[in-house]
Amino acid sequence: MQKKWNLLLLFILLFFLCSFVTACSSGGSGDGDDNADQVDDATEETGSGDAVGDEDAEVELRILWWGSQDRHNRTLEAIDMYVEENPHVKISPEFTGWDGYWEKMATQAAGGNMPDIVQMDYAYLTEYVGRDLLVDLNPFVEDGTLDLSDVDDIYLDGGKVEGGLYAVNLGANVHGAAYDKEMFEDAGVPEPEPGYTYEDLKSFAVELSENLDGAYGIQPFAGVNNLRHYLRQNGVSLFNEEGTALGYEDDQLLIDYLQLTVDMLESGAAAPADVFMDAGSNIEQQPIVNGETAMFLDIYSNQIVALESAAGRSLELSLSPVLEGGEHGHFLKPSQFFSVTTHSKEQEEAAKFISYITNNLEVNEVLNAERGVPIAASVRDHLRDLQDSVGVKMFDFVELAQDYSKPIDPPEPEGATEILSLYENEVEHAIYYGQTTPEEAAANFREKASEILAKNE
Amino acid sequence: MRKNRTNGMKLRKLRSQTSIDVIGFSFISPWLIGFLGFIVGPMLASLYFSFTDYDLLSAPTWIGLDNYINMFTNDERFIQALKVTFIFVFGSVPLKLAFALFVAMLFNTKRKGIGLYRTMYYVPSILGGSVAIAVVWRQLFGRDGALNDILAFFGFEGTSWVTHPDYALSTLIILVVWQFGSPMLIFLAGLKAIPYELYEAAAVDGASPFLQFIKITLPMLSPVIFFNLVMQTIQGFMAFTQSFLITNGGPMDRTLFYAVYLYEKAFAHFDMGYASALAWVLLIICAVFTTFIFKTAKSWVYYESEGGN
Repeated sequence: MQKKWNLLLLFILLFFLCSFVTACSSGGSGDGDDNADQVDDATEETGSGDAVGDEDAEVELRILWWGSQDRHNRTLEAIDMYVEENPHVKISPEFTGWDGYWEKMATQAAGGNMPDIVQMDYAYLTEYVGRDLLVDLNPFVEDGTLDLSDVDDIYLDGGKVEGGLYAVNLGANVHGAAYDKEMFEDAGVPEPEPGYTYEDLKSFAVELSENLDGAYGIQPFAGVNNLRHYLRQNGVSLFNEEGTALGYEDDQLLIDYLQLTVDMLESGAAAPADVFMDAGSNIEQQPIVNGETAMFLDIYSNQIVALESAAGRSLELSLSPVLEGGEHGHFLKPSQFFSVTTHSKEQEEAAKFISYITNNLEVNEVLNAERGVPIAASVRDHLRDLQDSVGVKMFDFVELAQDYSKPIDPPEPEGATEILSLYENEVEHAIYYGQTTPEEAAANFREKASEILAKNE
Repeated sequence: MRKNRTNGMKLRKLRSQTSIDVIGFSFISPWLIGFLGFIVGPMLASLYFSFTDYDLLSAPTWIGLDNYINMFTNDERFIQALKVTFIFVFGSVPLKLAFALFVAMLFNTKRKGIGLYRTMYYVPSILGGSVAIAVVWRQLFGRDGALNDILAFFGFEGTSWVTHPDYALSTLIILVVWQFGSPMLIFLAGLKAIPYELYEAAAVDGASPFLQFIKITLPMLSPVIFFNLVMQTIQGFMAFTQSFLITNGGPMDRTLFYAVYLYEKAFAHFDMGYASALAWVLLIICAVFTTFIFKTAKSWVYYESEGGN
């Protein structure tokens, strides 16, 4: 009897363990060994495979993007419009949410089977360019297939890697702050005007907290977005140009930045962790939505639409605080890009499609700046007139921020995602909960981040 | 004649033996193919990848034992993940088993509508680690959650339990204890198999219910406890969804389950080689613990058929 029991147990155990190890590595199993060869093959093929000229030949494109259901509907409609105008083109769309998107793409890349056009994110751009998976689109710009004549360079810079244009921006966002005008009025505090400083913020936030009943002035901001802003104002960046080390030498910068949060938590200007940690990165649940704070300093301009609709009342966008004697911190962030992959056999048609999405007025009415403020000037002007009040706020804010901007930092180095989660875990949250001091956090962050970045040397 | 017959029989026997084998193997071939193709194959591949630096996008490069060495000498988050997982396993498994046994004993009575209750108490286990449960848990243990409302009624002020570094892990332990359904059912089956005469005899001899529990229920149930213990321990080490969906490993890595760390390495940082190595270390950890439980089993698991030896 005992032996039987044991045998049965062992068998079940073996089965469980097997399925576990397998499940955890299934993404990596596959034909890992021949990846490199396949990629090379694909590159060679595309070199000779550009079917040029033959207008009637059937062309098939695959397009991959991530997004919400709203974006899927809009994009699908845009694709239909393109196909209607170009009957010889057949487009098969592939779309998912953000979760799982990069896993899917990495698997396709490993299999030598990437779609012709993929939606790209700034954080992943260098990685994919570095592995020869994306096509430099400059030749198509030169021969007129991809028309970017109406687009300012400042909108295009984010998609450039070492001079090559590997990704075309689909919309611009600016990071900034949102505030509730009425709460400011109730508290008798003047609204933040462009050019307000960190010191101003500290003092009017206390005032807000004191004058408002049951609400805090601001939600504290020790996150990485505002850190980038602060570092840029100090003339440095989070990562160095080569992506081999942190971009700032002096830990005092990070210490000062974190001290802001510590001070504001102490003075009661900022809400304690309890109030906002539940929300996580979910924009609809930030405490400003139900009036628990009057100001929220970690928002991208396109998120104002979601924030307002969750709050059910009007909210305003504002620039981030200015550093006295410092540089501009803002930048135009490409919300996302379209890139053409080296696996594509129809690169010219793909470039044509991107050109259409960038410049065509009707198709942009359908897309309606859902991916951020359009990059072509004529499209931007055309759409601004069609926006409702919150859309106008977003367009005007991006316009305003251009005067407070300087060029974007170089794309994220490899390992950046790891460093961002390190920052969130051991710096940001630890500061919110008072489990570390700015000095300790800064030293700890430098040590661990440097180690990750050193692998890129 | 006779000779021929025996020869024929031998031949037939031989032929039938091979054909039985063929038939047998072809019957299990779907499983066999699946097992070789989807379990053994990937396992070997993952063993190979664990000795490489592999990021999915480019070919793996052989780095020998570096992944393993790195893990034990230079990876604080690995240590943190181990710590969290051990606390989770040692906290949740005994609690869950005790609770499941308690409920099973309540159900081991003849009462009206007991079947309905049994079904209802099993429901949490069916819900498993779903997104819906993540939302429910955040609602219960969040800042504006039900728990804090109850505390407020008694005059205490709560915090946001799921996001607080000191309490987040406890809420996850409560979650898995709450999902006690499957061990409960197994306990129930075990309880029903205990002969009623034993209790009767004990009662006649004047044993109290508590004594009956210690002297009859526990020993008679020990094989089932053993089974549940092994299964729950392994499941505990492999726990993933609870943390992934509710706390995502945070705050400050306080709920960073081993499997969540592994997933993060593999699919967020594309460090497949390292993640494969992590998977193999976990396999070894599970094996060690299970062997340990098996070894100790001799001293506390009672098998009726062997007269207690």
